Amino acid sequence: MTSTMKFDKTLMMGGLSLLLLQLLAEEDMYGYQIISVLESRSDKTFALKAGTLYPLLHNLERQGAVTAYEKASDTGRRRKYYSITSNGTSLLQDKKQEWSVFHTAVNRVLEGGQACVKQTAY
Amino acid sequence: MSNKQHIEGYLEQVCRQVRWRKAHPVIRSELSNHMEDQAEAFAAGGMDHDTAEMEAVKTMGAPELVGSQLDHSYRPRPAWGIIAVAMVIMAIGFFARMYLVENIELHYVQQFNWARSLLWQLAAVAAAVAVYFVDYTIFARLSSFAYLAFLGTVLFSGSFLGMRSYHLNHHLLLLMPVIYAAVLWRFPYKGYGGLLVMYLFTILMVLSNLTVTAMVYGAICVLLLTVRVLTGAFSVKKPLGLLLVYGPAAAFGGWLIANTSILDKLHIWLHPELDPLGMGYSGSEVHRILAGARLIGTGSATIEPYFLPDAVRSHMLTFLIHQFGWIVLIAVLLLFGALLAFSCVKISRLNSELGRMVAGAATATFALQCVLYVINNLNGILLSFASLPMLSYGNGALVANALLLGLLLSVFRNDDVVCEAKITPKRVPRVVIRIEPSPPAL
Repeated sequence: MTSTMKFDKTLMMGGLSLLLLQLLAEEDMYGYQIISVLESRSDKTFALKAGTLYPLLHNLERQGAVTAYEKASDTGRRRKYYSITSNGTSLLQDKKQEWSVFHTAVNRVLEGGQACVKQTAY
Repeated sequence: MSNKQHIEGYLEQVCRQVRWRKAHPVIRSELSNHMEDQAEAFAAGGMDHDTAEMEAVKTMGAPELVGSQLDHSYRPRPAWGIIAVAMVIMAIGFFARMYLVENIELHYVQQFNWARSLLWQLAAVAAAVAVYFVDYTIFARLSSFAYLAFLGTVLFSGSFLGMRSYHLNHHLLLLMPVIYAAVLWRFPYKGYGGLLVMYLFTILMVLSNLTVTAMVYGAICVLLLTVRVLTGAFSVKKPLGLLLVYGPAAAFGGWLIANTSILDKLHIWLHPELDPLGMGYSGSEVHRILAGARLIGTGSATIEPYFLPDAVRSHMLTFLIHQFGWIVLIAVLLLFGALLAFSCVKISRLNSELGRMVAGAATATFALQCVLYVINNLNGILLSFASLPMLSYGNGALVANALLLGLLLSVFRNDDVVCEAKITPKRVPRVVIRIEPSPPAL
């Protein structure tokens, strides 16, 4: 998939919390860091805006999936770090499972669709 | 327009969309940090400083859209369950007190009247509402003053108020655990020295009003200290920390048993029939009255004036069980059980450590009062000054409990906008002394 490809936002939104939880499962991060890591690891496919990220993080915080704390950086700037909770870890497992089922089902449909097209062409 | 003004202007536009004003500082801080990080990244890529900041603002997205999304996500969280139960308890309490005043002919009843009771009830509601809308972190920031004010009032109010200070001090004791919780929260990394200082603070609070009530609420403070030791907030070895906390407490308990008549009192409390006209009088009367109580309806025991000591205040529940049956006790237990259960569930979901400590202290104070009051009403006097929060008679106690309720609700309401430093317990270095074999003597 190329980095220049435009995405349907609704397609992306469903999986965003899965991606955020996965990143936070690896280490505690602050908002800007999450956007940067997500962007670099997806080869700029997932370029989030702050307006999308922070409400999402805050909703995960309300659900008890992540927790936030303040920590001063080397420059003295106090950043709000997000950390995954045990609830968040089990939510991540559920979402991974969900994604796996969804991904397999979509592929099956797509493969089946190609087969139908080929049959019609004959 | 300078670029800092661009950032400020952007934040202003975002915050204009967010209706909950208490969330503005949190949002401002996080978005401002985000833009500064982004600007630094652009500057590191070769942009000049001013352009980097302007570009950073542009990457944030439309401020109206960002603001409206944050508005959906930042909302105060009123604990409706607790508010509803507390309102029911307050309403029942008001009418129950009035019922008792109308139906018990006691010599001190003349001092009660509807208007006076209503005024105190309104004052209690106003106190709860006022504290509810104040950010509870202000209380934490002022906790040192609150602590000193507590000690000063308890120690010196007698000089100004005479016997009235006795009541005032007992109501103040209800606030002791929450004040202590806030002070304790401000001493997170103090090692054994910090632990001892906080322990000393507990002892001072108890000694300032050396009564059984003070010791009972002091026990909540010790419990809070235990939680801090176990969560690593003092960075001390847990077994040694617990020994420091409970060793002196156990020694004091031993001293009390050896040098006072506390065991005899406990024995009479358990068997009031042994001294029915002396220390066991209340217990004997309560047993006699409750022996005739029915599930629903008036009990068979006769209650004469003065037979049940302080039926309006300390033994309200005993009297109501006699009048209406055990159903009253069941209803009271269900109401307070619901209040405490709602509170415990909410506490378990709090993000803020300070919030958990203050709400935990307030909830424990409610729970302890309920337990003591119910035991008192089922078995005679255990702790005569215990009140049933917001329900039993006691104007000062009503206001003190309303303040606790307001504080508890404020913690739940404002949890979203409280972000604090994470406590990362420091590992206590283990000193290993290695003894090398000495070289053989020549």
